[in-house]
Amino acid sequence: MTRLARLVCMSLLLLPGSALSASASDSEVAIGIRVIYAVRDKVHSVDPALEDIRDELAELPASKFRLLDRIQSRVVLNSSVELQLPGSHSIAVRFNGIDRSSGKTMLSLQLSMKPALKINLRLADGGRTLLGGPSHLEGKLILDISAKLKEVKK
Amino acid sequence: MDEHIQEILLERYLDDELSRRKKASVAAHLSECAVCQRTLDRLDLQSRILREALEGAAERADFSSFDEGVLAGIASDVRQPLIVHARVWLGEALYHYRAIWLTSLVTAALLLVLLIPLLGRTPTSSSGAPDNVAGDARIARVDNQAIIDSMEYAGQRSMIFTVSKNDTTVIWLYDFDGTGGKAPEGDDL
Repeated sequence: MTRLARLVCMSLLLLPGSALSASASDSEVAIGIRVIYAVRDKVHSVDPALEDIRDELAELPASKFRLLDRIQSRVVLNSSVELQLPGSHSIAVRFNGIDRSSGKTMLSLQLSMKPALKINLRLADGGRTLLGGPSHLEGKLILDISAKLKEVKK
Repeated sequence: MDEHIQEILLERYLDDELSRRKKASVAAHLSECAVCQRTLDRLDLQSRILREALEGAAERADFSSFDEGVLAGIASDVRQPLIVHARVWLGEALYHYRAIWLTSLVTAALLLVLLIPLLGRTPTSSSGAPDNVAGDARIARVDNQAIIDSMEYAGQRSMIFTVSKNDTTVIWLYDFDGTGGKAPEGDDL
């Protein structure tokens, strides 16, 4: 093998290592929380600001959906985004790391709704999950939680 | 002399195919052994007779149309199938350019290792929007897979289900308001 070919092989062998060396500590995650008010009503209506999750909302037992509040923030490892909910509750979403063991990027998050709930889950990068239950006025609150990885370039 | 040299060795001696050391050894033996010397003379004579006969035949042969004959033979030769040409070409290419082939194969293997995880990732929007997080009024097919590792809930009734259209996981807490000391008020929607 020529010297050039050997050099090319060595470079290519080193490439995957450098690509995968970016760990969770070098990353930020954009976390979004939307607070949605859902109620049963005679007329079916979805807030235009919730158009992107119309399919999800259609399978929930309510007919009227309104966006009450929202927050979007970038967090680093082991830090969280917190949002006060109507009433005495609050929701906190903490970024706990990145799991690539399955071949795709899963973001490890902890969802806490004081004082009743704590969930550790892994969410696909760019994906979302819905959390519903707290009562509000005549209906319920639904929390739309999404997360997307933002690699930080050094 | 007890032992004589084999004829095959003498033939090689005549054709000057022996090593310098072996040649000297044979020559030393021949100088002392009349039997082997006679055998050598006989072999030399046979060789000369044969050579003269072949040279004579070659001189009598007509080579005036030799080139034309060869060219005509090539032209009338049966065309080889394409697969034979391909096999010959591939064999030569693999042999002569083996360093390039090897490098290319290693490169392709490494690219596959790198690209497979990338292709499995969630496609991003081409709109240039910074995030696909809550609030973006866009309809995009995204991977919403969620794996719940643990759940601590102070209430008694909860349900986790997946929206069939886009695999979004929904966690529904029926008696959430009853867990903080308040009386439950209309769990279900």
